[in-house]
Amino acid sequence: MSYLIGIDIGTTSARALIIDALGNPVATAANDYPMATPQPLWAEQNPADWWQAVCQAVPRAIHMAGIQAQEIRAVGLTGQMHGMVLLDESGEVVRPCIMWNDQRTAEECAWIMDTFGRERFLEITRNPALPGFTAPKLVWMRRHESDHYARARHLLLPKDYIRYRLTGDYATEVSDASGTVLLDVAKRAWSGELLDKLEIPREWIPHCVESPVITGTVSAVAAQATGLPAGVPVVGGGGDQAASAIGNGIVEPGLVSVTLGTSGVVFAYADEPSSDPQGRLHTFCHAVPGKWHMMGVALSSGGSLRWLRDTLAHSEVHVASLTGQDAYELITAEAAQAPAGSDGLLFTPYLTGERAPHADPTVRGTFFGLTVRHDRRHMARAVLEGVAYSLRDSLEIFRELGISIREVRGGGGGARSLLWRQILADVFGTELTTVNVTDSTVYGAALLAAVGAGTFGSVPEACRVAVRVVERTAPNESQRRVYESYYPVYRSLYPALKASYDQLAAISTF
Amino acid sequence: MPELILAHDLGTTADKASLFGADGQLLASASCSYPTYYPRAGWAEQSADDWWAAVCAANQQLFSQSPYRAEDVAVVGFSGQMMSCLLVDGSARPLHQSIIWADQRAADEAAAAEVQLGTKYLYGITGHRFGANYTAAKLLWLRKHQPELLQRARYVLQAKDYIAARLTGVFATDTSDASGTNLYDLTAGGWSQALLQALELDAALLPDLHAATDVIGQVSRSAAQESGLRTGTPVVIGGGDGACATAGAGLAAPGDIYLYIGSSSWIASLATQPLFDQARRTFTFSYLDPQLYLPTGTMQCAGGSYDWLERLLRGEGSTPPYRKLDALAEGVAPGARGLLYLPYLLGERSPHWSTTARGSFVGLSMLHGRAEIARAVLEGVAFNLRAILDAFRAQGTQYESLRIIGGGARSALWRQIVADILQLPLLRPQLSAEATSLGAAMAAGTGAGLLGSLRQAARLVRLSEAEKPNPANSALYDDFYGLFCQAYRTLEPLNTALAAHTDDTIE
Repeated sequence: MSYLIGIDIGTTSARALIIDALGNPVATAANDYPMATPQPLWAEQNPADWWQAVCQAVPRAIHMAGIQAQEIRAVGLTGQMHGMVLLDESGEVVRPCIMWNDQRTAEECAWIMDTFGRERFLEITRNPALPGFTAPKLVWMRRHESDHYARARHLLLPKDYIRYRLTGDYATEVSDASGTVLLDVAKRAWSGELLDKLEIPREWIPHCVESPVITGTVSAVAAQATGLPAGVPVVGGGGDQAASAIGNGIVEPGLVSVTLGTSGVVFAYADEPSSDPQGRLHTFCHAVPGKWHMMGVALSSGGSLRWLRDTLAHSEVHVASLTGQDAYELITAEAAQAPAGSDGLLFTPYLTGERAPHADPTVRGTFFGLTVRHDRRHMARAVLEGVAYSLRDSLEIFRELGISIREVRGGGGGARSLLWRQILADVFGTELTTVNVTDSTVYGAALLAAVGAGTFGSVPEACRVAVRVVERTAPNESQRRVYESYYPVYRSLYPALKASYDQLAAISTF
Repeated sequence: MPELILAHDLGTTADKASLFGADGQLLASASCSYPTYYPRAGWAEQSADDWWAAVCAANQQLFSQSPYRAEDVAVVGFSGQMMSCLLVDGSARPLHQSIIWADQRAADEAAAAEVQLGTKYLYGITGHRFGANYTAAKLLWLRKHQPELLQRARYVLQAKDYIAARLTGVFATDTSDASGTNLYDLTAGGWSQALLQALELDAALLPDLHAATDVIGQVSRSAAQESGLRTGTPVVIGGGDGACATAGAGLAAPGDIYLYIGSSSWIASLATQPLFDQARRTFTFSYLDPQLYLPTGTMQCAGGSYDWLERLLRGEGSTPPYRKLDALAEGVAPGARGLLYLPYLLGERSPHWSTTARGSFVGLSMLHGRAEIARAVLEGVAFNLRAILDAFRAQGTQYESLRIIGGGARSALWRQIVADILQLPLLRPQLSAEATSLGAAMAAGTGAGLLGSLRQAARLVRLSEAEKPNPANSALYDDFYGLFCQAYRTLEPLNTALAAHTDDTIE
């Protein structure tokens, strides 16, 4: 038998997944690593910790699968995007990785957009420079850590550091490279113009391939450390969002995914590199060669429900701890007792500012329409509905940009709730499906490995074989009509309160 | 020689009988409840017979459970719920159940009258908006739907007037209650003949007008038997509950002002002139002393907001819930870390007069927990009170201090927030919970010659100095107040849009 392995360098752990040639998962293992916050809003990790976790998780997965390492035909890599790993001339890490969720570079972002000109910058990268992205971090380092900057010779993304340790190659692929805002996204190649203007030496930048393309083979040293066979090919892989989309089968027109974690990610396949002139949605190269994807991040989706749990649902948390139940299940069971539309209560889920559908760091959340008759059941349901409205806002931007939506695939922890799935289907007015894949990110990396190894002829073919819809939630017509009538009111809340939130931010030091 | 004052406060849920000494000291009290009937959605009725039975029972209880006797009572007087519509025949027999203040059935009639006569014209005469819950609109409703009742009717009475008529056989009312009927000419100080003619209502239905301190008669022999009072006890007509609470809160002179925070809340001040507000945010009653006026702004959901929050968070711990909420809110700095609460859980009266206004939390972030929410609720209520006070201040009146009464006034934190946001030092009357009864007793005692003038009687109310505004908070609260007003303005059209889709009419 032949097997494939996916390796995911996540935010909290490294995970390895072994699948067989038909795409069936065989075994998985994960190892955690810490994240450092040297200052508020900073986030750093040590690349050596990732490598160590990989060296523990991979052999365990092979062992649990009960296979011979030699049966592994290819390795696919995925991981957290945007992180900046810098190596010196001898391949040593210069400083800890500055991660995707690090917020130190607001000034550098503004400087980049100013010096470059917003329009031209968006034209090349299809995205604004955001504090999480890689290029502003390089600028930050040049300004604040000149000694580190002087030593640096190679820029890598987190998963590509693992590639370097596995194969000795400095390489990346287009989906992850899109998140550096140094890539010409339409041309799927590094932008010389950007690198020159930002004074980033071209020789620092890794070789960039399409995602299923083989970049090198596992070295003897790495084979010893990981238990992988020496000489096994390593494919480009994908950034975690693109890889997750492969794992969910979002590889053809009309397919959209909605992933409800702490944030809510809407993700659409795109044949063309169209972009949002307002910068609310990101346009990245897809891990499907020659294709793109668009993506919007609602910052507080599952996060809003967690906030509700921590703020208003102390008794549910208490009951859950006594009875061994999940507090979220108790809360959603209560929410199910309120009618669709929550008797006129609306919630906007902008608890940490927003990126999509409004690129606005100062906007905040709102409960609107409260009466004495509303109780926790209504407020919980309003939160679930408000998240759904906010995701629909992003879907509407997809539509404005000419992206068709035939089917929405739900994923992430939030999609495990039957009630939330129904609300999403009703608010979207579209069937909501779930697929047979659970760890879609690492699974997508394994599928990319399978394509690189020739197990499948193409990424879409791999998805057709391996990714199947296992559950469908159809919109309930009467509830859909209720949401349709409230949606315009929901949409009016942001423009109505925009000025208030700007002023609130101006007078508050909170 | 009898020297005690018996006050009956005919509230919405019960009659409360209180016995006061001539020094204003509360000696004994008893209360007896009666039901409200809701025959249809939006209707609210009470039986006048129930009122009478409650008065008799409360007397009986009062005299049997205290060392005092009916013979000790020098005078009996009243305060009562306002805006009722009770038709009686010439023998004071009720012709129907009284349509009380909470009843909304006359909405169409009120709206039609406003269209026909003009909102400004009506407000200019009565000092009130022309509303469904006032007596006038209810009379118009009765004329349309039960004309035979109106034909048989001799008088239309308020709750306290009915009891006074049962005791004395005299049909009378006072100017403060009259000013809550939508038929009283505030400037001229009498029933508005012009308005009665325009509405085609029979002026003879309205009882004689008195000052609240007037003795209108004595307890008759038969009424004495039923009520347990002494035959011949002087009866002072008393006033509407708002006016009596004002006296009980210790307001004595023009410029004195007070705040009541219960489930609802109001601000009222004594003035030498009615307040005709351009935007009609406030309304004005005649006072117990008909030479004075009582400009008033009232909000729907003050303590009600805090009650709602307490219910929302209920189900944890054993600490008394309000104290726990206060303790949480106290730990949060003014401004509730950027969280605003719009307290319109029941729509709003002053200053917006909107049935579609709704409550909101604006500015929610991950930083906000229960403590911030609790503080935001207390502050949001106070911001709306400031909007009411601003309508008063727009007349150029400067206020020196604010008396505060009602259940909400028991929270020291809320008092401080109110002092900071309204930027007035607070005074607390001693008998905060009994202010309405005390005010009725002050009117009665004045009428019986036991207390001199009302102004002298005000000295019976012991005031203690309470919270002072903290100047360090005033600039911040000014900014937040501006935001509070702006948030409402921008949300107002959305309230209407929301109401169009939501079936949750609020009475």
